[in-house]
Amino acid sequence: MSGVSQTRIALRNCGVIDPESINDYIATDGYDALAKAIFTLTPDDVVDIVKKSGLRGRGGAGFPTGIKWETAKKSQSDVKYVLCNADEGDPGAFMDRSVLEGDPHSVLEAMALCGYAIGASQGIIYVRAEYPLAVKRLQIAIDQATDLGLLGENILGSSFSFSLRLYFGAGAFVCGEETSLMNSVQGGRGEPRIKPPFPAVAGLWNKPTNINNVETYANIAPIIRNGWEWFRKFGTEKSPGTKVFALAGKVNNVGLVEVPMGTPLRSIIEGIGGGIRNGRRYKAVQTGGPSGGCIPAEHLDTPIDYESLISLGSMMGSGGMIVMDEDDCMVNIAKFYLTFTAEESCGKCTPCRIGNKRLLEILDRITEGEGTDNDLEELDILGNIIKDTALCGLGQSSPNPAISTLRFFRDEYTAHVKDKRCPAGSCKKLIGFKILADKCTGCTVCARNCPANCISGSIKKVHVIDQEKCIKCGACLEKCRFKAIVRG
Amino acid sequence: MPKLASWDELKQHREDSKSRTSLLSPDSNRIVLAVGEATCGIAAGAKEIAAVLQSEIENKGLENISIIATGCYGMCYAEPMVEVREAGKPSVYYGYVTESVAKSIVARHLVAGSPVEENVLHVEVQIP
Ligand SMILES: Cc1cc2nc3c(=O)[nH]c(=O)nc-3n(C[C@H](O)[C@H](O)[C@H](O)COP(=O)(O)O)c2cc1C
Repeated sequence: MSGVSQTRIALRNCGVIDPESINDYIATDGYDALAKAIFTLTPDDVVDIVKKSGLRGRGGAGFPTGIKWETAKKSQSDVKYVLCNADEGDPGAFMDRSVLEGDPHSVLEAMALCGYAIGASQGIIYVRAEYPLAVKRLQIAIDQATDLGLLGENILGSSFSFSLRLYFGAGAFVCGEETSLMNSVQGGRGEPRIKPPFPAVAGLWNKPTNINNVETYANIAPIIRNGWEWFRKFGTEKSPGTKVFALAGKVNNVGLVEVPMGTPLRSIIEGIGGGIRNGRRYKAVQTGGPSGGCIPAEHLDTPIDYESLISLGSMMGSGGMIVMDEDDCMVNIAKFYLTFTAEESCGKCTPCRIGNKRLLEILDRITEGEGTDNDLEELDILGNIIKDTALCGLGQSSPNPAISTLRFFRDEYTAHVKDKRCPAGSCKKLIGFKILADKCTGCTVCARNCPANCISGSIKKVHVIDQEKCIKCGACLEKCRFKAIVRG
Repeated sequence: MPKLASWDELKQHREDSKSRTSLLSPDSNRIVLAVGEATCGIAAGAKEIAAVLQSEIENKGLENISIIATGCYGMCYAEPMVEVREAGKPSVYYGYVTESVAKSIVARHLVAGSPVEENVLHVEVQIP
C-alpha cells in the first residue's frame, strides 16, 4: 500500500517466505529464538523479556502478555497448557488468517517458547474450521517441525519437550472468548465461565493455561531474538510495538496494514488506505468489531493505541477497521452489529440474552420510523446496564456500537425519531423517491429500469412514481441522466 | 530427514537452507517468481496465474526460474499479485495480474529484461 510506510514485525514473513516450507522459515532466522531460549535463557528470563517488552494482547483486551505468562508460570501443576486463539470471529477481520496462511511457523515457535517459559509440554491451536487454508498450512507446519525435531520430544537434543495439535472451532463467535473456547475444547458447550479463576490459574481441564491470540504470538520470536529494548523502539510507551489492521469498507485500498502503535487513524485511512472511494466524504471508522465503536472525522488525528480508542468509546479489538462514508446510516450500522451479537449470544446470562434483544428492538423501531425520544434514553440506559452486568466480554461490549453512535451521531438518531428521516438515505422505511417535473424529459429510462414496474409516463411526458408500489431500491435515481429524481 | 539434535545443527541447517529456499542469496543466478497465495490471492485467481506463468516459462524454455507460493502481501485490493525476485535487485511487485499480464511479465520482464510498468505497484514496507 502506498503513501505511508508500514513496519512489519508480526507480518515479517507474510509475502516473503513460502509458508509450506520450514526451510524458508529457518532461513529467515526461524526457530533461532527457541534455540536461544532453550540453551541460554532460563524460563524466568523468557518471562522477564516478554514482560519488559510491554507486549499487550492483540486479540482484544490488550492485557500485558508477560504478566499472563508469569501467572501461568507461578501456578503449580504437573500439567499446563499453551493455547492459541485462532478463532477470529469479528466480522471483517482477517489479520490472524493472514498470519496463519503466510507464516504458520511463527505461531508454533512462539507457543513452544511459551511452553518453555511457563513449564508446559502441550499446546493446542483453536482454529476456525472456516479457514481451510490456514488449517492445511498449520498442519503442514506442525508435521515439518515435528519431523525436524523442533517440536516433540527433546527439542534440539535438550530436555525440553513440547507438542502441538489443532482443534477446530465451528464458527460460534462466543467461542473466541477464552473461557468459552476452553469449554469448547473440552467437548462442552461454548459458554463462558465466571472469572476468576483466570485461565492462567485454572484453565483447560482446570489446569493452568496460557492463552494468547495469533498476532500476539507472532511478535514473540522477534522479541526473544532481538531483545525487549528493540521492541520498545516501536510504538508508544504504554502500547509498544506494531498492530496489524484489516482495512475494509469504503476505502480505495482494502487490505492488511501493520503500523507502529501511535500512528494517527488518518495516516491509515487517507495514506495507506488511499482515502474514500468514489470521492465520497468520510463519515466514520468502526474499530473493535462488534465490541467497538464508530469514530467520527473530528477524531481522525487520534493516535491509535489501546487507551485512546477506549476514551473514544471504541476499542482496539482484534484490529478490524471498517470505513464508512456519507451513505452509511449510523443507526443502521449499530443495528447491523447488534443483530450479530444478539444472534451470537450464548444465552447463559440474562442481561446478554434478553437485554440485547430489547436493545435490538429499540433500534428496529428507530430505523422503521417508529422510535420515540424515550427510546433514545432507554438505549443509553439499557446499553449501560447490559455492559455492567453481563457475564462475559460479549455482553459487556455488545452495546458499544449503539452507545458510541448515539454519542457521536446523535443528530442522525434524532432525525430518525423526530423528523422520521434517514439523512444517509439508507433506512428503507424512511426514504422515498420523487421525480422533479421541471427536470424530467420523459426519456423513459427510469421506467424501463424499475424492477417493481411502478413508474408510469409516456415518451417525452413527465413520469410519476407510484409510492405505494415503490420498493425504494434507488435504481431510478442511479439511472436518471437529468438529475430529475431526488430522495424525499 | 533426521531430527536436528543441537543448536549447531539448526545453524548448519539454516546455512544449507539459504541456497535452497525462495529467498535468494546475493550470488544466486536464479529468478524467483512469488505468487501471493493466501485466501485473498487465491480468490482473485492466483492459482490460475501461477499456472500461466509456469506454462509460459516452459514454452519459452527459460531456465533457472522457480515459481513459489507465498502469503498475503497486504494489498488484497490488487490481487492477484506476482513478485519478481532477482539477486542484487529490489523486488518488482505486480498487481492486478491477469492472464495477459502474466504472459507480458514472462515476455517483457524475464525475457527482454524490462518490467511491465503499467502493472508495477509501489510498495513501502519495512521489516526491521
Ligand atoms: C465475544 C468475544 C470474542 C472473542 N473472540 C476472539 C477471537 O476471535 N480471537 C482472539 O484472539 N480473541 C478473542 N477474544 C478475546 C479472548 O477472550 C482473549 O482475551 C484473548 O484470546 C487473549 O489473548 P491476547 O491476550 O493475546 O489478546 C474474544 C473475546 C470475546 C469476549
